[in-house]
Amino acid sequence: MAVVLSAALVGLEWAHWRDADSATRRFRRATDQITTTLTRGLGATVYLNRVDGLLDGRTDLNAADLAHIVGSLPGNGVVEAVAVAQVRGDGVVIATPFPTDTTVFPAGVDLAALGEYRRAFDLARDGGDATAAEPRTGALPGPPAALVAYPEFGAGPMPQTTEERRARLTGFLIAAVTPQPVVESSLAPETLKTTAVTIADGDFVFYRSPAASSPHRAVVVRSVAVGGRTWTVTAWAGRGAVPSRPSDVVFGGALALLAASVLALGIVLRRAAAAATAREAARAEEVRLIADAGPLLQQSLDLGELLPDFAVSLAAQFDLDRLGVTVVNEAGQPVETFAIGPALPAGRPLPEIRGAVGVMPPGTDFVIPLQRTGRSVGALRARARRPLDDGELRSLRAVADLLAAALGNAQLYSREQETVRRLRDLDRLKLSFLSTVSHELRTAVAAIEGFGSLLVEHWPTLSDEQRREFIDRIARNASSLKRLVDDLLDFARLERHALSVSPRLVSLSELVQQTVEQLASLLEQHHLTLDIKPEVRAFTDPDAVERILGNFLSNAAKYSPPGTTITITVAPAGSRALVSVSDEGPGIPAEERTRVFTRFYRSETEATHRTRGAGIGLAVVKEFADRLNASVAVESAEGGGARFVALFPTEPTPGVEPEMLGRGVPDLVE
Amino acid sequence: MGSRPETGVLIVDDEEDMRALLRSTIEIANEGLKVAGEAVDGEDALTQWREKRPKIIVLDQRMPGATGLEVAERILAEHPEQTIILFSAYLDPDILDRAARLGIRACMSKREISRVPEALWKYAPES
Repeated sequence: MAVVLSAALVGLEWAHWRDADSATRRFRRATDQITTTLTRGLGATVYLNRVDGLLDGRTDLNAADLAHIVGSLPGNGVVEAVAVAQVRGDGVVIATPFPTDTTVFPAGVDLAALGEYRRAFDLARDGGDATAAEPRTGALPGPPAALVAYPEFGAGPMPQTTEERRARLTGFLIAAVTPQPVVESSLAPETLKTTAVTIADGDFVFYRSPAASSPHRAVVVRSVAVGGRTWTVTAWAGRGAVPSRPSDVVFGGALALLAASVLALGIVLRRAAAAATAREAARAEEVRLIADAGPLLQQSLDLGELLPDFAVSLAAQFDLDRLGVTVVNEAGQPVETFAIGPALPAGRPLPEIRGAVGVMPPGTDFVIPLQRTGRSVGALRARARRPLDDGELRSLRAVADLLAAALGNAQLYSREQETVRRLRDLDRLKLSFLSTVSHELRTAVAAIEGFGSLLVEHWPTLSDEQRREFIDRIARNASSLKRLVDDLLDFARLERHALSVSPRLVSLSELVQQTVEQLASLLEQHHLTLDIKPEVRAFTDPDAVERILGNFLSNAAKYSPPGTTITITVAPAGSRALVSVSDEGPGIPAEERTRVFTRFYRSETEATHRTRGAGIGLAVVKEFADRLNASVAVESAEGGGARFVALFPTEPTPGVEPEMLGRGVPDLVE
Repeated sequence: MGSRPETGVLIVDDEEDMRALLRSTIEIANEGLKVAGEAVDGEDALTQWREKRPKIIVLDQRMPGATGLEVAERILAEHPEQTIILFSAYLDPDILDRAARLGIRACMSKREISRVPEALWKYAPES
């Protein structure tokens, strides 16, 4: 607006200026003409030289002769009057005036007595040439006029020296020259109303037109020689003759205002353009981010590697000072997977970006749900330092959609990887199991066969002691073979999930006592301590308890050195019944305590390598425990050995009571 | 054969029953065979071999720690003339091939335990 107004003002001023300038130029042409006319008119005084020549140095002419001589003078009145003046002593007396009735030169007047003319007469006499007197107002009657004196030296050749001229001077031809009649005869009265004219000799102004008080504009100055002096004719436009030019201050102000407005407009436009360019660049960057993120997220199967870089570029793009990605885990619980910026205060509901939301104010936390095929896979929450417009929020949502797809892919991939890993582990464990079992089977069979052959072939020569030893070894290997076969059968059942149980209410105290007695051969090389509380009852399957206890004891016997103590405990534990077996062996490292119950697992320790075992026993224990709603675990016994614990339910109530997972009871393995 | 000098045998097996079976078989066969020592694993075998310098080593393949083939490799590297019989519960072609390349004299299955004395006489070094 300011620009338009100032431009209009400048335009008007400019038009005004141009008009004035054009008028002034036109007027100057006119004043040029005027001054030319006037100088020409004034220049007519040169005819006085001719009159001077015609006088032939005479000063005794009568009026008729003079009238005849001066008839050639121009009729424009520039020469108001002429006269012949004679030298009489020191005086210069007017003898013959023309026109005869002129008041300018009254006959008989001694002009030299007028001090202002004396010098002109002397200069004219001594120089021998026409001399104009210094102009003086009022020296002669009538309008201001210049007195021009032409020296007359009588008959004969012109005197050559001052002396001669002084001696021969007879008089002067004198002329009153005035410009006013020239002006009035040359210029129309209308012209003089609009045109200022002055005619001056130095500081003395002979003529001043009525408009001469106007300021000087369209000025033309010309000079003309009059009687040896120079007159200046000045003409210019009178007041109102030409439109006045606008004030420089106003025009300058308008120009400055326009310049300032244009400058301001330029700055505003440049800023707007820069802002538009920046917006375009930001939008292009968002598009690039989405385009880049798309394939990356779609193909990425490990978000842990990708997410940090992606989040950082996202934060930079949208100026986010807080950004977090929450992923819904397999249990349906949201888990914070990645976050940058300060933590979000908990428990505050955040606005969700779903449809069009307009502008998100700066510093506002918001959430974009991550959904895949209508299912929530997580959430992206963020806070921006600057306002985010609808376009930016749409871009963010597009990114969030890509992220959701990527999360879905990553979860699927992760699950598949986990499955593959489990199957590979299981496969490896099975191979190891079969290899172990086959080795142990061969070893047991070889021992039975070998000692059997020795007995058969060398019976008569063998001592009783040898026979006894060989038979014992055959029996022990047969037991071992039986356990291996049991393990193999259990293995087959585990594979088919076909271990069957028939729980009922039993006396755990009695059942454990009997089982320990049956398994005595396993424990021959160890001290046995029984801590069996009476009347401990459990709702369980007695065969399964035998297998569980048998495995516990077999482990204890295998992994603790001969001569150490194995302690068997039966006791009530809250609403459950506890059976435990502690040994004084090397124990089981904490990180292996849950894995020992997995199928085919055998510890990598030296002790394991020295013992037979297929890695199936504890898996069978776990399987039985699961079917009986019992819990089994291993912990560190006092003195560093292993303590295997089983907790049996005492009532036919399914499930494990959480309060049992407390003091004095090891972590339970489900 | 009875005039042959006594042949010392080092038994290497992690299974106590197998060591006892081999010892009994060798002792019952008698005939110039003598159990010079029993080792429970590779390291034990190397120690006893250096100490007792048996003429023959009966070596189990599958043991905790170093396998029989690995033990044989170390022994033969030190003493290429050492007679070693690999005694294993199972012998696959790969084991037989590696044993032959190492310079092991014979490989026997644990099922053939009654033929061990025969093999010992056969492979016993003359000197």
